[in-house]
Amino acid sequence: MKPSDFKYFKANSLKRALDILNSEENIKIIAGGQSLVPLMNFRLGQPDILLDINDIKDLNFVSESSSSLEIGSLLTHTNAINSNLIKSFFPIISYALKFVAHQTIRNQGTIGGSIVNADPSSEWPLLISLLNAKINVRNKFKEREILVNDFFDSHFVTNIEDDEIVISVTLPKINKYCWAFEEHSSRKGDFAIVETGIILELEDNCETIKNARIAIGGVDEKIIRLEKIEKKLTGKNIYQDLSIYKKLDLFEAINPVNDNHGSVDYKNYLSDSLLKKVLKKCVNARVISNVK
Amino acid sequence: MSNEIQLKTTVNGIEYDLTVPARLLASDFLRDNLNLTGTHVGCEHGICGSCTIKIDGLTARSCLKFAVQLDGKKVETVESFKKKPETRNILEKFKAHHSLQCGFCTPGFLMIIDELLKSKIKFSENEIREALSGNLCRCTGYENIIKAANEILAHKEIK
Repeated sequence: MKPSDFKYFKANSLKRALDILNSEENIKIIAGGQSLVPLMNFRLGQPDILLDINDIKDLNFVSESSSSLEIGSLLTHTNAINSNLIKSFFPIISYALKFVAHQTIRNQGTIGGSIVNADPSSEWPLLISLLNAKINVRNKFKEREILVNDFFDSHFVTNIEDDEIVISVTLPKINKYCWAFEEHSSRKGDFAIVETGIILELEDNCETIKNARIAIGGVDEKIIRLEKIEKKLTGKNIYQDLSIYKKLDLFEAINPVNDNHGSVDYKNYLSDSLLKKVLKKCVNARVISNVK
Repeated sequence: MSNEIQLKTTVNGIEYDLTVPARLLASDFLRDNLNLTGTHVGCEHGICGSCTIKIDGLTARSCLKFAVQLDGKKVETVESFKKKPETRNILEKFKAHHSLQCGFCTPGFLMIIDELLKSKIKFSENEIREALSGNLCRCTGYENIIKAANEILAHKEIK
């Protein structure tokens, strides 16, 4: 259980880190290291160079603009949970991140690391999918913005190039909405078998659904947005019409596999019951209003 | 950029300046290079919590950090308990409740409880249980550890 040999470089500026990424091969970037180091300990990952970005202060922030919140890629889960800005605009983040492993892991793990790891059952990937995030990445020459729909490719695979670093994640504000998040795991702190989150954006009357978003994780190679159900819910009254949800629409969209966490039938059952639970919770939740 | 890195770090108040292999885990560094064998190595992939230390005041699993990442940091291990009188109560409650048998997991639990004690939040019994659930113990069945933790944290003053 010892990592194989590698060269270590600690970048104290983004420019320096991007230079190294541009000129060297087989590099791994280390942020919190909470998923990377276990892989290296098992020698599943054997980078030639480990590029430590933890000293790049420009990557550790939360900021607000008139239309969005921006989160720097080095923000840890603990700091995200404790951020008042995040709590006021997106309490779903503060709530869902408490499901991430245990406090000791949350102290170290970062949003950037979590999304590039692209585990389809972890919380940050689901949250940024649900929140229609834009991911800002940069290489030595240019910065580009990736919509979350184009960001995840498959299990543990994203569409970031080898010479790019995630700088930040931009989350567009939502005016009036209610939300819910639930997940199920064998033990508290384990990876979710199934996780699901919902955001119902509401019209000014606080009853008609202007826009529905539902994301589910753990049941496919990446986080899935349940577009068919989202469409059916749009325009409906949250207090009357949520029975429009049919589990066949869910089963059509997801693609769980048999593994040591459970059978396909079990995961289908779990997805359906979690989805019913978040729908119910969401209707009874306090409406978040960010109109100023 | 090198396989051998110079490392300056403060562990339990003592400054060290050493050159170590880049791939050396912080847990092995503490045990083998500094002879601080109170940090126990169980699973070596971040599951068991026995190697929990504090880096700049926050708990971390030392098997998931490289020694070179401790550069410039203030590190505390379970050995720091000997020097701090305020930790005496934690040890006494562990003793009173028979919160350990073989003792392998104990350093990890002590570090976590110390972190809970220093945070500015008051914890419910459920939250304490949840906070301790990240560490594995194979002897006690946890109840005695939780009893001690509840007593230690019950008298916590929030300033």
